[in-house]
Amino acid sequence: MNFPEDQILELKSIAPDLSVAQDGGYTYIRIDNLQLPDHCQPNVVNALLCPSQRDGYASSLFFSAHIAGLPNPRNWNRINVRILGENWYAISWGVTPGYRLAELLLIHLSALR
Amino acid sequence: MKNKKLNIKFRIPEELHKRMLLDLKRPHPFAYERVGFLFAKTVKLSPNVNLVIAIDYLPVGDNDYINDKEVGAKINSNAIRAAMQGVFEKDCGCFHVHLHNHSGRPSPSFTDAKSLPGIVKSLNNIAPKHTNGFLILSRDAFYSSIKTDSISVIGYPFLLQYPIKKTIKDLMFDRQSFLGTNSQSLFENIKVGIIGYGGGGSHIGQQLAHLGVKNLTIFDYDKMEDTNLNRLIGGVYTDIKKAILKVNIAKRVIKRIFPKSNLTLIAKKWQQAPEELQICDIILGGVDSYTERQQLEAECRRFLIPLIDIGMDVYDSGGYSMSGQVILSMPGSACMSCYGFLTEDKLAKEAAKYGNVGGRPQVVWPNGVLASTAVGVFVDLVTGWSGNSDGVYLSYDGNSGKITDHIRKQFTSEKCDHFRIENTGKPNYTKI
Repeated sequence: MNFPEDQILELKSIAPDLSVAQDGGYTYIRIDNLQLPDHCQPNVVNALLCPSQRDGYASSLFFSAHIAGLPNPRNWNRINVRILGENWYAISWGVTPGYRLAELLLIHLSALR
Repeated sequence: MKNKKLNIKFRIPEELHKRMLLDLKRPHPFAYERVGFLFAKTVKLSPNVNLVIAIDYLPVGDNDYINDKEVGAKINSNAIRAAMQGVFEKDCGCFHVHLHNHSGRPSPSFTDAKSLPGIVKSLNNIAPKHTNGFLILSRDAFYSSIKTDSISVIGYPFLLQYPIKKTIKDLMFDRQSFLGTNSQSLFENIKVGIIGYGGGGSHIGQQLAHLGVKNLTIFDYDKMEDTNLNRLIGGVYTDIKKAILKVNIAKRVIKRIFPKSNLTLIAKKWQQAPEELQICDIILGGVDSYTERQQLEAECRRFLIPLIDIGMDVYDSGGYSMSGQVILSMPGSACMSCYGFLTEDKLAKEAAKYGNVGGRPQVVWPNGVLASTAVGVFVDLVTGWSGNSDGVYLSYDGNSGKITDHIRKQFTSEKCDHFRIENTGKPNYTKI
């Protein structure tokens, strides 16, 4: 899967450290050192953005750690999910398809508010 | 303090092995033999175990041989440069390979022993963090300049090579000697992982012990509960009250059958001890969900491990119907998504039911049928006794008791686009 360059540039303005890799037919954008809101523990993590459908979600954002300290309880229904040789954690957070990559990231991050 | 011995497991996809043999067997206008370079990634599984996974092969071009009657093949600096370029681009190690065209274990000639270490030294200089060396292939075996614990060609059947050890002839296995003269030695050396010691896994563990499979790693984080007693082989009534871990039931059963067995018991999810899975040569999976299967298959593919998956379900559609499957997911061949067994639709439906699955119907006999079939596939894969080399996607109809090739198998390409050989080992992230 190739991503439009303008969308990558836009995403980089939020999270500059990006790389891509494939696993099991899915393409992931890896975001290293993603800054999360201050109340999150930890508040800097690595993340995997999967912009395509996986596990019944139109898109997903996986974190390298389970994030504590969230003001609202969230359903972490994907725990220790093995992708690209690492374990990841994700909140059950439905996002309708059709957003640009940067919008997608911000909407997924809104689950942490 | 003495350094512990480094154990190296070397895995080569069958597709690359075939490509090497085809290339190295081709006659050259003047060189007596051909040469190539095999690129390989190294994964450190533990302080004393390294896994080396072959990812690509580079033949030496016809014009890069030097006419020298004194040696079988002499290559020029272009060939070496191309290999070094490959090492840089792929960020991996490299093995010089050539063929001794006979059966049985090859050994280096006087010229090999004199000339090849120099090439390996050059490779070590440019890729010091990786594993480099030279391999000599025969038609069915290897010589490796690095000391390996095992070399395996991952295909159906497996080509497995372990250091030669004297095996003790045991009457216990006399009746299964038709599996091949080497079969008991293979069972003694191969490391097999069982994921899930429930209705399916408990049959598998018991049968592998009867076969004399010595090295077993069993993953199950659950304890014995009353709902397990109807199908967990070896589980007894008192285990429920004592809340015995299922892996300890496995130990009790397997050690009684085969006291020499070497068991690694992991009372966790495999995702919490992935290096214990990665070290296994074959995985037999009896997991509960599609998402677990998806993750397990991806991990097995990444580390070039064949996965034999079993599962069953009972549906109520105006009368009960029972069905199940046995799938061999062989790296380089069709995967569970290629077969249409894993689909986005199934994963989505399962995700929608999350936390509301309830106790699904399970009974002992279909688990036994499917587990026995999976053990049969395992034995054939390791020993090649039947002469089959076809993919496995078997469908079980529990109402009629029939096992047949799944209809989808006819329409599935054996080439897999979901898991590519170049994506094995450490993930290839590309900066964007």
